[in-house]
Amino acid sequence: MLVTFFRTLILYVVIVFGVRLMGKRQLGELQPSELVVTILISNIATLPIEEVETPLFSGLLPILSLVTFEVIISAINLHSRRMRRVFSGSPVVVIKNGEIDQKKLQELRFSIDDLMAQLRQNQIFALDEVDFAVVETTGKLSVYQKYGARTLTPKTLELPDQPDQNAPPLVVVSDGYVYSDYLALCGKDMAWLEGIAASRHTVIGDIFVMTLDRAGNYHMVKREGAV
Amino acid sequence: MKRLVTAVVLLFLIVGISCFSLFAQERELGELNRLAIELRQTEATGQLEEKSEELFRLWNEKERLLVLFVRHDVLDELTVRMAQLPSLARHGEYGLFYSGVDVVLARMEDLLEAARPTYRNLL
Repeated sequence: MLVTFFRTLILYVVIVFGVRLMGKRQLGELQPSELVVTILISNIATLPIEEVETPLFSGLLPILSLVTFEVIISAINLHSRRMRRVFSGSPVVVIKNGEIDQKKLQELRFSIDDLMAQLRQNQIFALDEVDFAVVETTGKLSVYQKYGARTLTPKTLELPDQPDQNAPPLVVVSDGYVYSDYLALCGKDMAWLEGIAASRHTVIGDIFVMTLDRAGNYHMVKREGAV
Repeated sequence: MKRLVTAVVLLFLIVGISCFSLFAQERELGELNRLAIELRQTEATGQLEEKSEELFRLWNEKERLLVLFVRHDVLDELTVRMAQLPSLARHGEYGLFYSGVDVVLARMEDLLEAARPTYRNLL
């Protein structure tokens, strides 16, 4: 049993390392090759865990090979459009100028129900609101709505730009730990932070969470039980 | 770029380990194979018991490395077969002894054959 435990631990560490090596892209929407690698890794990993008779190397070797292939192929794809098309395919326009391209839908084996479901996931319930729709290589539908159906934005209303409002609030203190990079990104320093903490009768170590934007607006939550 | 470098280094490492595993199996099993063939050719009146004990001792040494690359149940089967040989020789069960050596030889040849990247193994 202890052998199984340690083998599982080793495989866990290797798989986490592998997924990290494949990068953040892997964790979001999966490209076809990434989906294949993910499925294969999960299958291969179970064998040496379940069967103590199988040498651990027999599991580690294919897992690490798949990860390296994926990283190398994605690096090649980055530089070669042709390879990208082979490994990931191309986006397909399924609605053009408000017209559904039924032939393309058939080629993708995408039923009208699938299309409607994807539109609904994009918060679109009427087909006539769509001007342009593309099935991405990940299988997701990207939609460009007709002018009349688009969400009203400050740009549409020709309101003046407010650069201060473009910066999102960042977490500068979490559980008493200061993210100095984010603090610098907001144009502040430790002295400012200590001043703010002192003005709220606390110390940085007692801050549970604090967010800050570039305009200097902050929101602070003190740790429970802190004075 | 860092990821790509890590992946390439890892790939070389994987290829290196794979080549080493093949080399190690060829070397270790080759040595055992030679001893087993010698044992097979030794006449019943010869030093069967001593030689089969030597084979078993050598197998126990080599198994420590082989366990990294070969399925453990296959190694266990070979260990059982080789452990039986000295006793069979001691009690004059020569028919069983020689057939046991044949099984050992065949299994070791199978192991070597399975490790080689031949088209039969690849397909």
